[in-house]
Amino acid sequence: MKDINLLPREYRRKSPGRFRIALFLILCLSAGPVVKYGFLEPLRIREEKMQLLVSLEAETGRFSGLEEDYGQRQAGLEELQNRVLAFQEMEERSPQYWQDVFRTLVDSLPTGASIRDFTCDDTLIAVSGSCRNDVTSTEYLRNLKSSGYFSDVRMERILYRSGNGISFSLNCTLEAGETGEDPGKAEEETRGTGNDPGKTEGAEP
Amino acid sequence: MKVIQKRILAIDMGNHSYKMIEAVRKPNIRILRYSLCSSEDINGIGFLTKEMRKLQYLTKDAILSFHHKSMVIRELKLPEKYDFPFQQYIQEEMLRYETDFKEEYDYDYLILPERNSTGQNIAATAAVSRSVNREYIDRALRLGLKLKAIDVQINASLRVLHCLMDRCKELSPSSSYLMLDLGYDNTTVAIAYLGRVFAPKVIPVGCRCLEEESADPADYLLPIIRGCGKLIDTFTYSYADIPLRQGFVYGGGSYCRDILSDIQSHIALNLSDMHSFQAYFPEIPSEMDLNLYVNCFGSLLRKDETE
Repeated sequence: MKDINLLPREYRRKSPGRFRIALFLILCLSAGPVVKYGFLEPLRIREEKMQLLVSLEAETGRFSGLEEDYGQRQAGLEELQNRVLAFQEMEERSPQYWQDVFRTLVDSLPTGASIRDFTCDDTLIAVSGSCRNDVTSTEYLRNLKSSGYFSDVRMERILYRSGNGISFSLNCTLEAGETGEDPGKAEEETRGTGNDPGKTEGAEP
Repeated sequence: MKVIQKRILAIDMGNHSYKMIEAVRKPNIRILRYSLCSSEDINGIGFLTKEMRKLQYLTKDAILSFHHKSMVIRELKLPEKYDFPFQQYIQEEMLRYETDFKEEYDYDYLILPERNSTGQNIAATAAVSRSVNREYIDRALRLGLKLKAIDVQINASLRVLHCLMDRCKELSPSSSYLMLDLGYDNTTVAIAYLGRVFAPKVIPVGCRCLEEESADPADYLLPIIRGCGKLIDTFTYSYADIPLRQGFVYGGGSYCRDILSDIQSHIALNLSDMHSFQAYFPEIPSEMDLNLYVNCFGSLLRKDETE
């Protein structure tokens, strides 16, 4: 039972109980959207994104060997391209090269020497000719060796003819990979450094 | 935990001084601080606000009580057969008061749970001049207080008496007791019986009149003795079966010299001052004078709408 209160109605504040109930209801009502859009919705979106990420990762996993395969193929392609380039280069330079080689063979001939025959088999050039004596043929051999176009020059045979003169056969092995550089320059450099190009292998007269 | 405890400030705005108690009411009353500001100190609201801040009163929720000669406290017998709600009947009664006294009143009532001997409902009513009430309210609001209730002082002291009767076995709840509030400007006399107040009467004399040099104590005592005698006679005539042997005196006037013995010699009742029963109130600090703070303390014991 309440006691007498002379405080007029207009000065009395609303019952705190009612106020609390109203506040509680407002909080309850506002809690729903806050919980939904503040907590549940972000969690749901996160879950969806995680699932999407997992599925994408699984999909990407199936092509994991693809990259390795691509690398291998790429390496093969590069190699092939290099080969093609080498061939192109070879094709482009071959005529000049052979021309130089033949010019060297001819230009290296000392006075009184001549070429009778020559055959070319891949990297081996067999030259046969005649000259006055074996000194000239040897000089020819030295000249060829020092030309730089050949890795090896051998005197295969010297035939002393009954009259004056000899017949000789030379095997010249072409310098491997000799395509781009000018062997004439290399020869000059070799000479400049004092190497003795006169040493020959093969039969002495 | 202390922070969320609901504190309340009970203020007795007396003519001589303001008595204040800050307390926690639940679960049990615990008085946190109390103070008394004399009217000499209270030059304005600013002082009291500053004083309250200095004394570290934390709450603004307040129960105010004051006494004024315009206060009317009556028990209305509600008609047995009445077509309208009781509220309308009480309103009509109050309008009659207003017409008789030519003044607007703020009032409140309480339908008592028990009926009288004829089976009629009884409404305890209290009314006070509206202008006076609003003046006190404005004063409290200017202090920054949030008013929870305006208490009737005689009801507040009756609550203290009930509390005392529960704790002191010598005081029988079936007996009646004279209540004498010796205020600074007014004296209130009433008889408490069976949880109710019988015809509280305001005698317009107070201990202020003893402060004058030429004051005659008889001028102060005689109206009080006469008022008490009349009330006792009326009560014993109406309730002959309820014994009346003891009276309680409180208020600042109870400290006037020989006043208790002087009154007692004329009304043939055993009079005690309230403070002498302080031992029965362990919740009250020992330094707190119950004679001065009885109305304040009684306001803390009130039951409000929210409780």
